[in-house]
Amino acid sequence: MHFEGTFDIKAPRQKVWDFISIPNNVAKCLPDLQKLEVPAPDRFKATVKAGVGFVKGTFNFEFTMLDMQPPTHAKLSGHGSGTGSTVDLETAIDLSDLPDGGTRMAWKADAKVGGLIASVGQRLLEGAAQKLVSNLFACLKKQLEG
Amino acid sequence: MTEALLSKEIPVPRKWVGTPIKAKEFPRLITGQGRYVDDIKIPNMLYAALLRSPYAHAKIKRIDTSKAEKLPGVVAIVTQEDVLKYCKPYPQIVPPPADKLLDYCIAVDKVRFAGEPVAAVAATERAIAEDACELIEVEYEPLPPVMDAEEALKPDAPLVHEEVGTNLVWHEVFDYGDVDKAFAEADKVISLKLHHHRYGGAPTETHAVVADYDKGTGVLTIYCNNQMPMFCMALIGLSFNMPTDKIRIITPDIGGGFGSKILSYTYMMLISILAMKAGRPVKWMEDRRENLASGTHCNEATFYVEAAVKKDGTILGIKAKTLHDVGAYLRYEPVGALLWIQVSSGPYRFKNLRMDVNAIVTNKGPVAPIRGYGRIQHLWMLERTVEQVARQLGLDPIEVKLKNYVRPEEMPYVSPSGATYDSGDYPTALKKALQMINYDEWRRKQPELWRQGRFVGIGAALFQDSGTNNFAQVRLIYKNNPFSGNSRMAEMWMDEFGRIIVAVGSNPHGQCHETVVSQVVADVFGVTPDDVFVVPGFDSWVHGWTGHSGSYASQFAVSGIGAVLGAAKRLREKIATIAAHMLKAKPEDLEFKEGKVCVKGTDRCVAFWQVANLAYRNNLELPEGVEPGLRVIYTWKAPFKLPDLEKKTVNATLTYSYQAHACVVEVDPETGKVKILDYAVVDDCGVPINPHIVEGQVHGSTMNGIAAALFEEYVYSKDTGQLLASTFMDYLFPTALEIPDIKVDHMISPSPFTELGTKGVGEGSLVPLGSIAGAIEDALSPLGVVITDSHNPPERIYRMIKEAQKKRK
Repeated sequence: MHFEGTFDIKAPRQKVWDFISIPNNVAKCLPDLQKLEVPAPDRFKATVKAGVGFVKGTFNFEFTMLDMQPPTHAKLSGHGSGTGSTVDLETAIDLSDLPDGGTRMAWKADAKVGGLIASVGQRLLEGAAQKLVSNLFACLKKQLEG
Repeated sequence: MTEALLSKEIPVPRKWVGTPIKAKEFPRLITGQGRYVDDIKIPNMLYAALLRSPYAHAKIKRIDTSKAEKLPGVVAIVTQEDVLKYCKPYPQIVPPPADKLLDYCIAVDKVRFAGEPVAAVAATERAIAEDACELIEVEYEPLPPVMDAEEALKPDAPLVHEEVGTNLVWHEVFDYGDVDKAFAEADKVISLKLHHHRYGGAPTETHAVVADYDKGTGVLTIYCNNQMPMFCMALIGLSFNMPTDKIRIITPDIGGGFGSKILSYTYMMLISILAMKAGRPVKWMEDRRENLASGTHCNEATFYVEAAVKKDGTILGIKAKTLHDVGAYLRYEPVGALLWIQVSSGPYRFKNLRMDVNAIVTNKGPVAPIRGYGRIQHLWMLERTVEQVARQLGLDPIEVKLKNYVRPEEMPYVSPSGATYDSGDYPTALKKALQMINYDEWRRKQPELWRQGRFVGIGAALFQDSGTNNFAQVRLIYKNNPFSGNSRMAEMWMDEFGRIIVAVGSNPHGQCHETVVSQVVADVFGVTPDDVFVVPGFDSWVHGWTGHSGSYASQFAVSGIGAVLGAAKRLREKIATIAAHMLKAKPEDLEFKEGKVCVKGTDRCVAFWQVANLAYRNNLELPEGVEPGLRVIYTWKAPFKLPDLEKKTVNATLTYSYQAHACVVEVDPETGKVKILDYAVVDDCGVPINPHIVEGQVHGSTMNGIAAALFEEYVYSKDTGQLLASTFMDYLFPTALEIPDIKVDHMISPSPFTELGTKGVGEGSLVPLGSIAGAIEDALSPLGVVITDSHNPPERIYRMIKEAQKKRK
């Protein structure tokens, strides 16, 4: 599944970069966060509650920040498992300046889901994943502007 | 029973054979008194759950069971390490290099399909075992899956089995007659690409195992619902390196199988390892989602077909390249890719055939010998081809079929591959089925219906159900395969009260063997079926068996009954010898009636119990040279020959039942939905032992075929390899509401090759795949739609209609 989107943030690019390059800030935007560990500045482990339709459960995710090109480009790669399922997530973020001093964030995400959720929840999967990913980025925007 | 084509004299008097008595099994099975694997409880027994792979293709980098082991109630966990300690890989049927393929009862080093078992947990409760599975940490390195047979053949395709070095596990070309000449002489050559989809059996009872290892005696007892346990016995013995006297297999009542339960030996072994490791008996009952995801699907096949034809519709020859997608492991394959050889020209009489056969592994669930194994795909392909021949020549498909059918006077008919069709009248059967749906009336009304915008079409097809297989056909896959022929063993005795007991050791899962055996035996002894007890189920310590034992390949009415008749005659002869001595008469002057042996035409009789008393308790009065006791064993052997490995011909099966189906469907052009307006079946299974049971099999097979044609399909995601039809929400299992009333009629063409003229009937060949495809194509013929897939759900038909309409604009 591939998703992408663009949104504008009323904050300068360096501020946006500083914010998103800190795992704690990103993790706050994960759905129903239960637990967070940050063993290294570019890695974090998160336990979240998520699901599709009636298939809900706890997932243990491990995220790594890759290809960091401050303050322009970053990648976040995550692998999660739980509830008889697996999720492999690759996201990329590109930041650019806007004439009004704000920042444009262009994001892409590729998700591969396996196991119970992929098979039983597949009718709802695309919509649910889209919502999850969009919420994540909307949350980042809110935190930066708020 | 309408037209009896009975031509052969039956040597045994027939009072009960041919009578539609109610099945003996029904009262217990339909009132919930059947005993299935899940009803077995052994003291101290544990319950198992399996952890299955979420990936279609991935390396297993690490399995950590430590958290799961600490969960209270967990007793044992089995992973690849344990399996490698207990087992050797299963032997393969394929020739080199694919014989190097490593297959175990659990994923080793890699997972090769989503749903493959990775770990097994035994705990004091099933729920604990399930929770423990959640606590097992498996680190995978995902690999790209290969989800299509043609993709799998590309040079850069990921390898499913690195040890084999290719995804093409078997390739062979079979050339019969003079195909090149046929194509040179053709008025027209018709080409088609066809796809036969994946569906399965979906039995009511899923796979189930109770394994009990007795350390004291070293005996492993496996209660299971396997359909072919003596085939498993060899595999399990070889893989465990355990003498088979230390393996006892028991099958109680079985709730359906459709071929899928032939492959449950992997579970029988995995649960046995769990029981050995735990030191306690273990029960495992598969859930529905596991059943759908774990394979045992039918062979998926793609065909590139060319047919050489004359203008009048006469088929001169066919060339077909077949790509069988057999899934992640071979198990029984590539047998399914070969079994077209039993029905090489189908019901048709063309002599020239070239088959280029390819079996290919992918990251889908492994296939199993599902009902009509390997033949349905081929018969469906032939049916589609013949109908397209007709349509492209502007002829009536039904006329073209009738023109090309083997004629009744040509029976027994030797097909291009050497398979001998024993008996039958295909043209009459098809015509009769058409009459039953009022064919002429529908054809007359059809143009008017089209004018009204109603897409009503008629389809008719005839498939053979080849039964009692010759195992030697697998030598055409690999000449060194040490199997051939077919056989069955039956034991029979009369007890000291004069009751007759039969132990035939088959594994019926809906075929009512207890009933049909008692009908056959009742006729031999002049008693009623109620006087005969057939030991239910199978127990390798109780029932005599051969390497061919089991319930599969439409054969019990031939092989099982062959063994029963042989034993019955042997027992009858012994009883007659003793009775003749008691009555001071000659054995040939005696008759058996109503539990007595009498001198013909007199009232001088001895009761069975009196004979039995002499044999068991009063043996000093036995005639000289007669061994005490009344117990016999008979092993039936099928009259087959070894294949001709040069010509690649083999008489692959002994009998050919067939069914002609005719139907009327209406396609809704707005939704693509197909409604069946009328459905008729003419069945010919030779002499039916119990017409009532035959009718049940015919209904079941028809329902199975309608389901395959319109509803059931295992759909996989092409990019992630996930099974998308993983519950009955998406894997559309039909209910009575989806199935129309089915009109059934019978014909009887006794088999000249079996003692009672019987033929196998269990599979019935899912003819609706052919008849419904034809009817949809006929309904949509004003739009010129060509049906090329065996699965036609509303979405596919809707798209075809829209495309056809676009082209016409």
